[in-house]
Amino acid sequence: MKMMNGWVAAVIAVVACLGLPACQSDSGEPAGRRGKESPQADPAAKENSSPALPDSSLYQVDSRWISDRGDTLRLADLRGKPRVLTMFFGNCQSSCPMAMASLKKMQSELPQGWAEKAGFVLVTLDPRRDDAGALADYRRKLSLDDSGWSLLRGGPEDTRELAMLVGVAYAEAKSNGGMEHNSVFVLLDKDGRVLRRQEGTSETRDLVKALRQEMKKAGD
Amino acid sequence: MPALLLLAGAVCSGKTPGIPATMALIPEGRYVRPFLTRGRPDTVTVAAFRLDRDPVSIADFAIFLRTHPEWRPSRVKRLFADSGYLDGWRETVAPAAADPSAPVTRVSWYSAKAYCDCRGKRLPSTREWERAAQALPPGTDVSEVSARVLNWYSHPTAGSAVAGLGLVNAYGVRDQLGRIWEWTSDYNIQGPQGSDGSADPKAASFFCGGAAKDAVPGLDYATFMRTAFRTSLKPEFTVGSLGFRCARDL
Repeated sequence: MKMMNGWVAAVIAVVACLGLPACQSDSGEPAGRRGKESPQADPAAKENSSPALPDSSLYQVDSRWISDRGDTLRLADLRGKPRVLTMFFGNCQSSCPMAMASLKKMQSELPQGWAEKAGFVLVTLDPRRDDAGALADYRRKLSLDDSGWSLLRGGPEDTRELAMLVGVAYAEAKSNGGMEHNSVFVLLDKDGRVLRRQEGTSETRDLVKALRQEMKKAGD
Repeated sequence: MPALLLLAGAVCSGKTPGIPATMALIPEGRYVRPFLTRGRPDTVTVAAFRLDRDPVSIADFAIFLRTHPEWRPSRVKRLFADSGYLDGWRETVAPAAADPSAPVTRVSWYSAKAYCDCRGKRLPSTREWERAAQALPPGTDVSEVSARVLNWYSHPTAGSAVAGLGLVNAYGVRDQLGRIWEWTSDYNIQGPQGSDGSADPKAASFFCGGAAKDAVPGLDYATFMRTAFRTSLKPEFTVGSLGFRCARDL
């Protein structure tokens, strides 16, 4: 430092104050939050002009997701109606089909026009294989309603973060190329707060009751 | 302007472009899991990756807080960190008694992830972390190291400012064992997961009557301590002896 010219020291001070280097990657490349793992750029991302989200809202996460239609969105874009969220993957042979059957049964127990007042969100745990096309195939195969069901894929790190938030633990299976994971349903209110979380997906009576109540509230 | 940015990078990280000296290359290798599968040791092959040589320091985290106010103690959302987050810090300033070069602790999983994101890195997976920790230099007396680490685990830590055991792995990664606990990206995969599927059914061996029934003979008990500790965590938790380091693909 003793050898440093005055102007160099001044520039360093300015840069340090600006904090520009704080997100500098070690390789010298700027590394914006999520930039690396976001599946694609986000030209259509909407700024949310609604009131601030509650502190406990899952929609606080800043990650970006791609739907099976190729739309990019933030979780906050799901705001506005209660939703049931679960994490799955397309190649899942055992627990996911049972979970989907339970969700479709729930859907059948909702009143006519439910999709305007409630939604189901399926987030893949396997974004490497479940690209938008695979998710679209999944939607077709299960005949999932366009407006009521959202199928999303994020980057691997963002997927892990959401899984942490909803209490899903998962790892690639060692032998068969599948995933080991637990099955969780989460009921979110219209602002993304977790109202109910359940491990295991076979019993949905209480969940559907809570969803109906929430639909009524959201409609008031 | 390019010169300014170059200078900025140098001030921030002291790194040269490309693979930084602060990260070690961990070549592809095998990790021995601490429990038996069908009566035999279970090994997992871990692809080559880079791992920070040192845990993230208090000074590094303070720099991060300057440009990420959402992670300052007064601003962080309870969703992402419990009330003990960065206890004793005043916004971006660590407690006066803290050694800036000591590992930062009292950070949640979410904040650790955000820091690594910011640096263009990620948290290491548990397999990666354990793979690196098991890679002791050739000629190491494993039982002696295990005894020292276990002894460290058996005493309450006096805080991260206390120097660790000074252990360095075969690739130059320091203080993975015997200084602080560290977050991994998937620390929760060894916990019991309920009835509708299990991230790791073998994890039952770690609990209650399971004890060490399926333990790999000869594997140091400290590995079990780490597994038990990880299963006790939630991602928003903060602990005075829990910090992190970052990893990167090659």
